[in-house]
Amino acid sequence: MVQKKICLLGAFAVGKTSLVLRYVDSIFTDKYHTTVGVKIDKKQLTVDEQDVTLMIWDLAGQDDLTRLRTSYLRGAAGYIVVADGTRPFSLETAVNMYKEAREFTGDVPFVVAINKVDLQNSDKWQVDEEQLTLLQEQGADIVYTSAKEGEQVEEIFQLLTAKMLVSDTNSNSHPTKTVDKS
Amino acid sequence: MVAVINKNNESSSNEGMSNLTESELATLRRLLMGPDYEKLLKHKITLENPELLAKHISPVVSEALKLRAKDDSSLQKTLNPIITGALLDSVSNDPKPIADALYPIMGPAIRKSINTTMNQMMSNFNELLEQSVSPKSWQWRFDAWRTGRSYAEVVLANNLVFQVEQVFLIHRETGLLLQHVLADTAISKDPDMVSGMLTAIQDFTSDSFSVEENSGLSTLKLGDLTVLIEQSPSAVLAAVIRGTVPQGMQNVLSETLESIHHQESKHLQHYDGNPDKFEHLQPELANCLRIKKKKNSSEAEDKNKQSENKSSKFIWLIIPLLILGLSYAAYYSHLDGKNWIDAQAQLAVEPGLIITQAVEQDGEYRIFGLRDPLARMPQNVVNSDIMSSLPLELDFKPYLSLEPGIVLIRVKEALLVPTTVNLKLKDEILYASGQASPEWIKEFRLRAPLFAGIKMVNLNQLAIRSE
Repeated sequence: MVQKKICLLGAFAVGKTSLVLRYVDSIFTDKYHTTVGVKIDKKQLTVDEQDVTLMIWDLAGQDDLTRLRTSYLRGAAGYIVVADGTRPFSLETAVNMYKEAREFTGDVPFVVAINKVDLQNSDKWQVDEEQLTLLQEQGADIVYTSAKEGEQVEEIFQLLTAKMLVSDTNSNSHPTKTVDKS
Repeated sequence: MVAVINKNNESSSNEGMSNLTESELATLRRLLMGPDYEKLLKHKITLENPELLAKHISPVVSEALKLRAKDDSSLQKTLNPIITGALLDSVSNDPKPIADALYPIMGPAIRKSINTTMNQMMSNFNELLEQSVSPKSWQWRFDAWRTGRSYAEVVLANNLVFQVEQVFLIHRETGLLLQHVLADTAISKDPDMVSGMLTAIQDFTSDSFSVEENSGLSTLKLGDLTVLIEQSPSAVLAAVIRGTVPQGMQNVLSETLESIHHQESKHLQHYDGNPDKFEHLQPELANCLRIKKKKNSSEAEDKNKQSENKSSKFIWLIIPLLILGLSYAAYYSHLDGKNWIDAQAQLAVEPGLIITQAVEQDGEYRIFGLRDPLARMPQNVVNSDIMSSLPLELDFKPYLSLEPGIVLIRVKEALLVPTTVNLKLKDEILYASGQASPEWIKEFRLRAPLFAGIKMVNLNQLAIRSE
């Protein structure tokens, strides 16, 4: 059994907590509760015959006025940047957040979730393809999720875990010098 | 320019050296170094030859180990994994020598362990008895009800000065739980999550308030629970303490963490998420689980001892009575069961009686069935001893039995069979033998086949009696 700490980042009300709730407890609620500080959950899964315990740190949503509490990112083996497919601004926030997180954590695996894909066929759905391309160029895997319907929720966590395990294998086979971030 | 000259000098000296033979060089060395040359040469040979080196240092190895062991415990910590590994290796290769070596001490050790366990069990039983039935326990129950706290909390508050209930070893950077130990009497809720939240709280506080870089939260208090937190560069040790935090507890944690750091600094710095690597630290962490019970004064102690003695005497009195009571109950339960089966068997074989239902409920036994009016009363069928000892209720409805015995009785009663006539019923054929009057025989021939259970009458053996 291997333990990994992962973080969920994103703007307010994009569905970070709902994704975790759907993944860990298999439930969804329409009621919105803002996360204060951080909420921690645990989930065990198996990827490539490796048992992994994910400690999921669901960070409070950020916007232009609130800065990302980078101390929560310390020691994260990977993270999921969440954006809302019905709010183009949330994708912009996600891109900024990814940049800020990367500065702190270094080159750790990450995945981008475009949430609320159950509204894809409605008028509300607005995804800025340019921003997506930018993220893809940075090496991001983009997954369209729906916490409401459970679509691709399990898959995104599986994908991130697989990326973290591959990253572990690579770093073990090609050990690199650790950089002192202080 | 200077560098060039030096280089030239060096190359010329090297050329000169190469012209000298080995023996000339040795002579030169002897001249330069004097008598010390031989000694140095000997030391050099000793250092380069492993066999000679081993021989050279062997007289001082045990002394050196002794001296080091006196200074601190680092030698034990270093040798611990080596000895463990060697033992494991030896056992996996051939367990017999180790088994032979342990054999003489296994018996006494097992006996001692059983003794200790039994004593502990008795002591726990004493405590349990005292806590469940003593007036003090009722007072505590009342206090718990009055104050809205749980009974366990009140008992702990009244019995304990403090107890270290849990110890968490947490990886500082990730907040992941490395190891966790828990006292026998304590309850833990998902230590992984607790570990994460403790780290998050630390991050939050140090992020929110301007504090020095390496300072962190050292104490958390919640009711009578205190969480002491000790930090090192790569790990955090948190102890959950119920009651008054003892003096020196922080030092215990600090020393434990230092020792852990000393042993595992490499694994802590490059933690790969596998907590199994730290499993051998469990005994060290368990050493932090401490407990201190309340002792008000020596008088109170004496009283406690007296009451303990009393309660142990009480227990020794109670246990035989309990065993006797249980044996009595078991015997009677067995006897009732046997009587119940016997009663059913006796009724089942009785002609003219049919059991339709036998019910045993709440210590009452009931048998329902059918009874031919000519059959014996069920109460008379069942053994009188069983009837007196078993609370048995018999409920039989009337019916007409076609059993040969009952049919014969019925025929005899209805046709006033004379004593000179013998009747036998087989395969629904009634055989009559002996002697009878012609009138009776005539009536018998007419009426006997009318009885249920009789198809034919055979009178071949019946002779007419002359008046």
